[in-house]
Amino acid sequence: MDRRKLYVSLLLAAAALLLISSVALAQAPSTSGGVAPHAQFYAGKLASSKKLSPLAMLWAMRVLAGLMLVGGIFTIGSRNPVVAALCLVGTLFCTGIIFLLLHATFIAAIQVLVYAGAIMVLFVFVVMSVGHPEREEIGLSRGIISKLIGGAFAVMLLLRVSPVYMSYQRTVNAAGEIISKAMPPVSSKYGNVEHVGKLLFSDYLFPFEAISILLLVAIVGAVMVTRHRRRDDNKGAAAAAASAGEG
Amino acid sequence: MSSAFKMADFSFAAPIIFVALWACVVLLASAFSTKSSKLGPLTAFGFVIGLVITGYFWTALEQPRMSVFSGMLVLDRFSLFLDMIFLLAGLLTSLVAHGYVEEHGFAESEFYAVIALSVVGMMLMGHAGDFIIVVIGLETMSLGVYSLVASWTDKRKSTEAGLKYFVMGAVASGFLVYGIALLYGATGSTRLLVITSRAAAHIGDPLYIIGLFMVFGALAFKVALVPFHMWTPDAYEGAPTPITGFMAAAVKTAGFGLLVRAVSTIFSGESFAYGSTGWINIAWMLSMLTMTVGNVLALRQTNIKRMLAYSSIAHAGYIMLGVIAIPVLGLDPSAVLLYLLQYAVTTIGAFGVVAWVGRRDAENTGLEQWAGLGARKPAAALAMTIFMLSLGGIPPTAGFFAKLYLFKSAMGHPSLLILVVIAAINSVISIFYYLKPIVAMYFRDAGGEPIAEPMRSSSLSVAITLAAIIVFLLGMVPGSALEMAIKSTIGG
Repeated sequence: MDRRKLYVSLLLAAAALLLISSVALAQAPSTSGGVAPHAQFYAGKLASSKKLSPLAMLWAMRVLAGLMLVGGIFTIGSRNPVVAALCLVGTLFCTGIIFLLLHATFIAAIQVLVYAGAIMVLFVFVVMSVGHPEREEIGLSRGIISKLIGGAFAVMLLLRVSPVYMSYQRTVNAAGEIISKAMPPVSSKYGNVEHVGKLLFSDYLFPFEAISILLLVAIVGAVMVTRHRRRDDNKGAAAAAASAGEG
Repeated sequence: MSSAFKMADFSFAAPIIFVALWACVVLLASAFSTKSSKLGPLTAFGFVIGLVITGYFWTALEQPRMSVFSGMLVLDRFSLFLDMIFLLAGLLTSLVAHGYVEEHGFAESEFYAVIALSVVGMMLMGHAGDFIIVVIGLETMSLGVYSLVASWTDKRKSTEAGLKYFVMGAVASGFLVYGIALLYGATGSTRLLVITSRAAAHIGDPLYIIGLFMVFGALAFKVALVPFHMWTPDAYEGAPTPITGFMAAAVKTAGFGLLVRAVSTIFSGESFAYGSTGWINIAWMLSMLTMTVGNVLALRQTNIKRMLAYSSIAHAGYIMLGVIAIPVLGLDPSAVLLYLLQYAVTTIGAFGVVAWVGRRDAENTGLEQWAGLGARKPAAALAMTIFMLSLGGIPPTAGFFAKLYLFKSAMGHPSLLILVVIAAINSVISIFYYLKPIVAMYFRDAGGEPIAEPMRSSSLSVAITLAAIIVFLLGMVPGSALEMAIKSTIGG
């Protein structure tokens, strides 16, 4: 069972990689202004496929969202933490590609580098250093009444959400053009490093500074909780690494 | 979007920046000093200066609303009043914690810095003009409080409570961010006022409404309204007692502050408030459930911390009643502000007495252990009596006046009359369990040797005396506080 899940997750990661490369090729030239050298290189190679049509984008988005969902389900569902971590990698890759579809190239790169790269490596380190996990049943099983109530709320929520999907459907007409829903147009520089940097140090300066407080409290809190006095030092260090990864 | 910010913006954010810097000072002091014996008073001193700065801003603010950092932060009297509640809560908590930590000898020296940093998070939430600041502030506050709850690392219960609170809180944060994403998807902005101005185009838009309710649900979790309250008793019981008071007072105030801000911006508009998808109906139900369930479950508790935890749930129900009344009464948050102020002081005081009665290796939170406390330690018993009477809403304490004012202002609308009646019945029920500790302290004899005996700590007694005086003053001469609350309007 576990092995099968591992294959699925690997498949997911592979598919995500494949997609990210293909979409990156298709997307890179379309951001005009401040185009990076490699993008110009690809632009020369792939001049014909400059832009995805809205309908193609919609379908790409759906496929990616589906993959993300599957990855997410395996992340929380699998008993083997390594499998869960790998599935999370797949999910994060798909998120990166969705950012690419939205022309947010910088965020996409950061998503893959930081989340799928750095943080996941930390996760895997922690999993490896903790060793084989105990097969402990988590007390999530509830009575039939709770399940019924939960199910009823889920159905209600789905009924509420479905009109959203339908209304989204209506934003693309049969010819594949977006019927605008009064969305403000974005600049051609949208999403590239220069644009993000300018925003970060003008409009978003204060949040940028405030984030440092958030990081500080995360680190100090993690140290405080996990630093045992004298005894149990090893356990504390492992837990500190885990919470640092999450923070 | 205006693209530039001015250097002057930094001076307008002075209260927040000062507390953040002071937290760093405390952190450095804890790193360099070998003894952590002065850190509590040091932190408290910072909060006093913060209170002075915030008070100055409150009086000196000329416009009803200033937005700085291109709309990221909002400066109005409402948010400055909230700041004062947070700072007061932080001040009392760090004083209470000082005595508690010395007695039980558990915490690392970072303890106080984390308290100060989570106060910074709360202040960010109060001043938020943009959902990005909301998320940063909420996470700063929450991460700080999670680690404070779990800070007693030798105690299994504390760690368990911290973990439970962390997992549940992370889910709630997820809902908040998802809701914000949906609102952004619908309107194309994260700025609260921009979303509000574009909201008219989204009447009946499921994307907008689901986004609203996800934000609402996440905030309901933070303030522990009833279907979202499951974490409360465990987290409150397991946390170190001063931190329990801090959570009940400051975290709740921050959540309600944000809720009031949301109610006056993105939730405003007739079509979002009323009708089949209006939030008022749901908030009405939640308020009724919260006060009733909280009070009924509190009746059965024999552990004082657990009892106060359920009591804090019940109080969230009363405050929710005030929040519902805000759009009905033309955006006047004074009743909610006054109630939050008195509740914060009273509840920190009550948990302070619970901390006071505990000793090393014996926390003494069982009701039977409090028997005969009135004869042995009259000061502690008297303080507890004052706080219990205030929580129960009995004159001449602050709780009575604030509750009266809240109910009276909510009665201004006929649709809230039934809810006010339910709230009144609930406060009568609540008196039963608030009287339990008083009865135990004064009318019951401790058979055999005395069990509960207060620890000696000057900072703790200062904090409890201060809280008791404030509770009395707010009850006897509420005029100036009320005037201040009425002046603390939400700008724009």
